[in-house]
Amino acid sequence: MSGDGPTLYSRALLDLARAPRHTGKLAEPAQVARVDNALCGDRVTLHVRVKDGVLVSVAHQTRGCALCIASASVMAEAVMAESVETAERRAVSVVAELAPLCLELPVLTDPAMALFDGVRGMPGRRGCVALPWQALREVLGSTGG
Amino acid sequence: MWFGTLPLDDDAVGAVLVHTHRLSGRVLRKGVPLTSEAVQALLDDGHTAVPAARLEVGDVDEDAAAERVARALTGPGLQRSRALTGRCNLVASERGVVCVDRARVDALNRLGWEITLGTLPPDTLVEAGAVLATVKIIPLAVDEVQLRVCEAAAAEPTPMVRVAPLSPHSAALVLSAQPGSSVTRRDRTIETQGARLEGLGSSLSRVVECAHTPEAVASALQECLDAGHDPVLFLGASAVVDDRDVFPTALRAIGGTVMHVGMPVDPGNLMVLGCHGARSVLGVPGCARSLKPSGFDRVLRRVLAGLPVDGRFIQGLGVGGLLVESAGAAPAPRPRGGTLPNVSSDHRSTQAGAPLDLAALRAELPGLTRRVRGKPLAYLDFAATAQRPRVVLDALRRAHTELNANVHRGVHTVGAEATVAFEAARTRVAEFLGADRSEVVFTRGATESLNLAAQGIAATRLRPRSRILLTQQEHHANLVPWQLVAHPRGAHVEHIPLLPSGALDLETAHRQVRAGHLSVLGLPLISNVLGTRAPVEELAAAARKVGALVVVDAAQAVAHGPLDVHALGADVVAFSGHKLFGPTGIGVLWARSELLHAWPPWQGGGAMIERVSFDTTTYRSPPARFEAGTPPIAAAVGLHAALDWLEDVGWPAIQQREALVRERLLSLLGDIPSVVRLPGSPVVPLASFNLRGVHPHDVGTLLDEDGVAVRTGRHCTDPLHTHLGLDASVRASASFLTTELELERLAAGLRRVAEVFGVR
Repeated sequence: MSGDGPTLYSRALLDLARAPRHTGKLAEPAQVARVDNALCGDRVTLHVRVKDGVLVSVAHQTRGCALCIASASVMAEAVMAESVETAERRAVSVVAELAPLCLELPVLTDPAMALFDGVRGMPGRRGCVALPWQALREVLGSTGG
Repeated sequence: MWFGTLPLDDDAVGAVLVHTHRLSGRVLRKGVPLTSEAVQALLDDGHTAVPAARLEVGDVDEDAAAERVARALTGPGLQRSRALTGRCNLVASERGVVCVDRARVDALNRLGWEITLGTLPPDTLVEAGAVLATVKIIPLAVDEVQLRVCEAAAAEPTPMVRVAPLSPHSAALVLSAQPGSSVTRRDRTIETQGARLEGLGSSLSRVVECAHTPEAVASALQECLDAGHDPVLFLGASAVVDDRDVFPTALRAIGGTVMHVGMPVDPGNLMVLGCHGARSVLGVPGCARSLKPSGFDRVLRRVLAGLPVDGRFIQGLGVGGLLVESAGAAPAPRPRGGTLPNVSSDHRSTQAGAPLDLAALRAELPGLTRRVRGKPLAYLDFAATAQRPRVVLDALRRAHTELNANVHRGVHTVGAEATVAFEAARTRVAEFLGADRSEVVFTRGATESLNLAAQGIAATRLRPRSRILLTQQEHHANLVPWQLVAHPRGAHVEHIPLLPSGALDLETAHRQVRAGHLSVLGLPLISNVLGTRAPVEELAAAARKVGALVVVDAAQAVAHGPLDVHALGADVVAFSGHKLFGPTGIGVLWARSELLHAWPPWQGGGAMIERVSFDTTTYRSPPARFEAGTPPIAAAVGLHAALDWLEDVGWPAIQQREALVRERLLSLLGDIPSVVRLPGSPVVPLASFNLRGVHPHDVGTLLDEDGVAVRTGRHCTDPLHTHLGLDASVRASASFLTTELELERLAAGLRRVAEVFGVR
């Protein structure tokens, strides 16, 4: 009964959902942001520590579906050791690319998003993938850049 | 296979239980091999020996055996379901007419008691996905040799069971008339024959009217044949009663053959079977002027499916040919865990005992026929919104075309007709509710109805310290409107708690009702998540004693039967049209007349006023007072059509079918170990659950890949999910139109999700 096309739930995605990376909290000094998806109850709490304009530590606590958990892990991995400007630019761009309410998104440009290519055709699930990046945007916004 | 009483010693491991044992804390299912832990559990439970079977060399277990026989039977146009509990179903992969070789099916069943094959009656119309035959292995295992004999019998070159697809035909109808024949009757006859043919994938492409004489009929038949139509149908001003009557004479006169006059089927006796060359020319019996099932349907189905029909076939229809609706109507008890009867033979009837013609009914709902991700849609989200039958779509179209005018305004003809149609819908809704039409207000939906009620009651009843008592499972639509009116007035919103069983805690509820200052008791008649029915009558009686108003959210109840608002003891009832197969954008608020008269207007505008000046404005009486502006006219006409359609299908038959679907749904879910159902005993075919360890959205997305549509999330019941400690859940909501295959696809999809996520 499985779908004809490649399923969104690849082995790699399921492994990440089962054993997420960069989870937990950071001790002070760290910035924290929490975002919720009111529709399904998914929640991402993101801790970041910035030193000399660079993200030196990133940790997330994610409660939600496999997509959301895997996305949080991928996001944390992707922006670790990035400059705040680059990380924020990527967060804004990923969230913006996932935002349009159309049946098929043309492309997800951030290399970190390759794992989530399947959501391009699933309007109902893009919010799950976007949520950790929204948390990143929020936490960096709160650092004042 | 060894079968007997098995002592529970070391040798017991590997033997198979013959009965299911419910021990404290675990269930040992029949047919499952015993492990040493299971043996210990039985010993701990006080057993020393149990009835059991042991497979021996040469035994094939029931599922594998069922699968092998079914595989041998599977020819073109058929698929197999997964074998479970010794049963494997044959499923139609396309729409068509069931063909059964009766002699061979009998022969197979006579090979031994162990292996059985049951089929639908021959010539039943089935949709793609319908179960048309079922192989059931009676014992837990069968002998390999016996199985091979049976496979060989099943696999003879021509299929024993198959589906003959319907091919599209361009049919013609000759209507003969005598002076004084009714025009309306003629129009209806044409419409009916068109609908019958369309339901079978063909069309009525030509209608020729003529006088009721052999010459005129002959020339009309010739005209249709010359234009290439097949079949050509004839419906006479008077019925054919003799081989020498007008129609047989006319057919012979143009070189056709009369193969048989009459048929041992009632209704349908007065049919004439004829042909002209390779084409069918049929004298339609008078009873077939309506769509009521008759022997003609069976003949027409065979003709359109290219199956042979001759005089001998007609003469063989006598046994079972008396199609009295009540004949054999006693409902057959169905063991839990068996499959659903997907399609019945001919009947669409209001008799509770007569099953529905599911294939024909499903064909009336275009939304059920689409495909999703390359697969036929299995729509299991009826509780969110039902699909719409074609009659509702036609009514909407009519309202937007012929009847397109505003209501209650102006004097022109179309406006008057639109007004009549709109008000007729109000009367129809009132009848459905057992209420007076002056108490029926049209709104945008149940949500708007409840907001209107909350505001009306707030304006007339709520004071500081007033209490509004709702339930733990309340839908946001019957919760938030109350918060909006309560908070500014210093009133309180409280709720009746749930017991762990999922039922309302009635003991607490009665205490809460008597606790003083109760203004409103609000509750869902049927919970949209738990599927349970609230004891509205009992609580309403208690609430009335303390002077509180009872507001019933009937959104989830209306698709399952008419209401009697007075018997419920309700003061206010709300529902939406789209949950009972009507259009979106229309809802109903029913409230007792004195309440409606007491409530102030809630929206101002046209249609709700008597006289307007800049100083004073006076308002019309209810229900008009609450219908400012142009109302949902077309949607009201559509809702009327939906109510008629449901009544036409027949509420007793709908409810009977729903009970079967519900049992089957719960039974299939119960067989999946990782499924954890929410508490409560659903009274409708609906079940909410979680797959242990998998987020509902992941479940929903993977099911969607399989073409199965379920709802995931919190279903507008945050307080219920919080109470149950759940972030979200999955809800499968079926209807009387749901097929066995759709439910099996849900179960198979859930098993796949469990496999993908590695849960058991």
